[in-house]
Amino acid sequence: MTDLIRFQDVTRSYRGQAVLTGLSFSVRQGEIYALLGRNGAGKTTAFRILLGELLPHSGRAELLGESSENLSAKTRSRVGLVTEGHPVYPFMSIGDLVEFEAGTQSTFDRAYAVAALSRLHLPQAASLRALSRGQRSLVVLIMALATRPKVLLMDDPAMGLDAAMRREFLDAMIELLGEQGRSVLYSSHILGDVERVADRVGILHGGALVADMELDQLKRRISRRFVKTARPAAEWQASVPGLLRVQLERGGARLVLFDDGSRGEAIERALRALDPALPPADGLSLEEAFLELTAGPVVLGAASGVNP
Amino acid sequence: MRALIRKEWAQARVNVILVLAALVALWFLVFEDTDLLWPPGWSDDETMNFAALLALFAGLQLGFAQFASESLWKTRQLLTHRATGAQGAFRAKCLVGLTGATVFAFGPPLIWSLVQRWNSPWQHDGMWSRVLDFALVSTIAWSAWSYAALCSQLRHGMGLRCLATFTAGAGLFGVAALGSMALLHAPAWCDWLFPVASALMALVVAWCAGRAFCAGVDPDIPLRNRAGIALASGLLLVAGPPLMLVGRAASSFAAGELRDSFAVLAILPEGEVLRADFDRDGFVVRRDADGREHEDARLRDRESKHPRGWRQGVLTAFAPYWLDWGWPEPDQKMRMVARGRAFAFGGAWTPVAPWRRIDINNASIARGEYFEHRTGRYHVFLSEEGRPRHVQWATNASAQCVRVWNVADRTHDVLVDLERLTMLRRVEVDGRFSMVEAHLPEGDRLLGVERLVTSAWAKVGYRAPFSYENAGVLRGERGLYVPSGDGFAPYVMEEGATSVPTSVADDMQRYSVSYAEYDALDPTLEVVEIASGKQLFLGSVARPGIGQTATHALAYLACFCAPPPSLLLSYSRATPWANRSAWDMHALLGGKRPWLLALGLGFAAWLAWNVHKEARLWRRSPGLAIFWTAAVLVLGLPAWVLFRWCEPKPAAQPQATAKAGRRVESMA
Repeated sequence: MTDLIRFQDVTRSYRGQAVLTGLSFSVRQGEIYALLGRNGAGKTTAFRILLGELLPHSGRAELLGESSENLSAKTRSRVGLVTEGHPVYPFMSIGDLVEFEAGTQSTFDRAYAVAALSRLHLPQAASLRALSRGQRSLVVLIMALATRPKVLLMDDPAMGLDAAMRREFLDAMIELLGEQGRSVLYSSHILGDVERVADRVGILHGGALVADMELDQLKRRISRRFVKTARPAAEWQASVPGLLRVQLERGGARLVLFDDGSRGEAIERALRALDPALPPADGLSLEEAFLELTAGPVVLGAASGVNP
Repeated sequence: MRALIRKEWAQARVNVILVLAALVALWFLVFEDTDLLWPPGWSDDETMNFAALLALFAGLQLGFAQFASESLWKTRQLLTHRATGAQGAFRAKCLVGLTGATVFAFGPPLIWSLVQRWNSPWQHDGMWSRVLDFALVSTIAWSAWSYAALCSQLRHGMGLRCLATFTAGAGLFGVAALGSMALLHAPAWCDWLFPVASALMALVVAWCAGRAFCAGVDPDIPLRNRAGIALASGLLLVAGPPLMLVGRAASSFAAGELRDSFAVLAILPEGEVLRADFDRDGFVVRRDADGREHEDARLRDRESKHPRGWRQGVLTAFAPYWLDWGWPEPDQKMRMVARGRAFAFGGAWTPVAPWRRIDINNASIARGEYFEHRTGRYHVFLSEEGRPRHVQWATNASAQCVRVWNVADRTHDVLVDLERLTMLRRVEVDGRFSMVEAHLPEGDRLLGVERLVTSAWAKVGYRAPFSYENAGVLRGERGLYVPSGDGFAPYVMEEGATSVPTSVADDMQRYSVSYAEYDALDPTLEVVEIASGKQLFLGSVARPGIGQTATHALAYLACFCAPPPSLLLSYSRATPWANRSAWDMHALLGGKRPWLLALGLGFAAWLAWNVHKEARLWRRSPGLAIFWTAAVLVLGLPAWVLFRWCEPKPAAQPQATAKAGRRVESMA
């Protein structure tokens, strides 16, 4: 499948503070990719680089095969955009916005927009200023989808929405996305949302991806194990591959381990060397996995799908 | 594109309508008591400047608001991320913005004049072509809009963008004021140069702004060489002079403060020269044999504490800084004439508000007479039997005309054409007016006009202009004359006259006052009795103290803000402000203080070196680096400030990645 979005070893910093330190990933056609990260992890910076608003200090970002630094008007018209906070012109009504979009986006599908607005009970006469945040987010989403984009970029679209609004937004998004097959790059730090929509997940931490895999795979590959050992952790922790965290407990240690797909057997061997009667692994939820991967410094192998 | 234009108009229309209403209101408020349509107007320079200032402000704020609102609403991405692209978005903004600026330029004068047209009792006499002059000078709004658009693209916070816009506005106003002043005295067709120049400037600057807008907001994206240099040149041209004036203003302020603090010199009737002090209780300070200074009670006016010295016959007191006003200087009788200003030719004048229905029977508004140098026309405004009347003649006079009147009764004006050496006089016979040629008595030939100067300082050679700037007498081959009745009478100097013609003042001079050693901060003066050649005074008039030291420090500091060529020029100038220059650095005038010159030049060189280093470090093109280095070498600190405005420090390269390591936590 073709990569519609591609980051290649992108670095970027602000005022000497590194934000992206080698971001590399790609989004394939028809894929919904969730870019996860804590606040300030660099998600918005990655989006802005992708849209050509910021330059990478090194590396390259591509959108629909074009370098982000020189996006053509044609490419821009094939990319839908839903940005953080859903900025709109407060002096416009929904109808004005539809006209504006129709007049400035060659691929804008007015009939689709009008139908979607009507389905979500958003009257065209309503002023954008008077809409609630949730309603505004829906309007922006509809406008982005009505351009029939090949790629949809959504930078934290549910940020600032309360639980009910978020659910409404997500339902609408799933419903609207379901009608059309397109690639989506979706950034968020709300994991429940991601679990509902994403095919693949990238976790951004320390300026680069610490995980880049399918959602189910991620949940499977992060595990919690308890080993009974009296030896001090300093002696053996270096010998356990994919070790994220060691929690010392009475009579042993609870380990959080990450298998990038290539080191499952090595992990098993190392743990059995410590505790021959090794109990079975506990699974982690996405939220727990996210927290383990982003809670602090990590050591990961350079195998496929994972950045060191 | 149409959708973008519609959106821009929807965004800007409230601004345009409200500001237009405010401008019109200001026109009516400010010109409530002034009739702009009566030629040539009392203060054309000021009215032109006012019209330009309003339009300029309106254009600036519209441009700034159009771009700032995108930042405020965070809609820049929404606007540019579409098929029309950033270029389309900018074009739409440009189109709407410049249209709005045109409305600001033409709207207020047009509305104002239309109201006049309907309401003024003088509507038949108004010079409606003058409305066009105001509208043309108001086209500065185009350039203002473009500059605001340009400053809005600076990769800095809103505060600095505001400051840059304000500075550019101040610079543009300077350009507009100079331009309008020049046009006022130029042939009428030159009026069209102003809007053409403004439009060209607006287009060039808008092109730069467009390039910057399309390049985005990332400080790491430098503009390409040509666009970067164009942007920098535009800003240097307009925002540079106001920044440069900061140093000049500090220097002038310091020099002014010092001049005010200098002691006054008083020449006693017996020829002794004393240093005097207006600020102190005892007026005159006398130095005794052992060098100590004390008050001289003889000259103190105990009742009023005003210096008795100003009374003629007691002593002649003068402030040394008068020398800086061009004293001593040869006859200045022609000086005021050369300005070519329009002026009132005579008659009573009371401002009227022609847009109101006024009582034109009121005699106090009845009369105004003008000579309009630009067209050579002479106008008389009258109210006769309740009806306004305007009479005008084409005089065929040159622009070098001056009015001479009888100072004693302030009547009997004649219009003297100094270029052709002819005279015209208005005569009224049975309510009918005409302009007739006038001649000096007994066939004497007119040589020119001598200015009247104050006689009080004639002794020391100071030609202080008499109260009215055009006060003068006519010089013929056989003597001096003043207008009198329907003709001319020989000038007779009365005893105790407060004003004398310049040639008479020349004969009255007894002392020569000059700088023995010129230093703007601490001058040494010399007073010599001309007849005997005796030196009556030689010394400094500065008064040392903390205040003076602080003022010196300010004058020194100003040298650091000055462009290096102006430092060199100031240092090389041997004479003070006889021909005042905007580039004078007072601390260096007259070749004083080489250490300060070296420091000032060294500072500029250091700035230039820094700019070159930073420009290369920040990956700016070599052309841009050379441009900015040269600009700082020529213009000094102001150019460095503009460099930092135009070329912000980019984000630093990434640091090393986060340290890797396992987390080991102990059970609580």
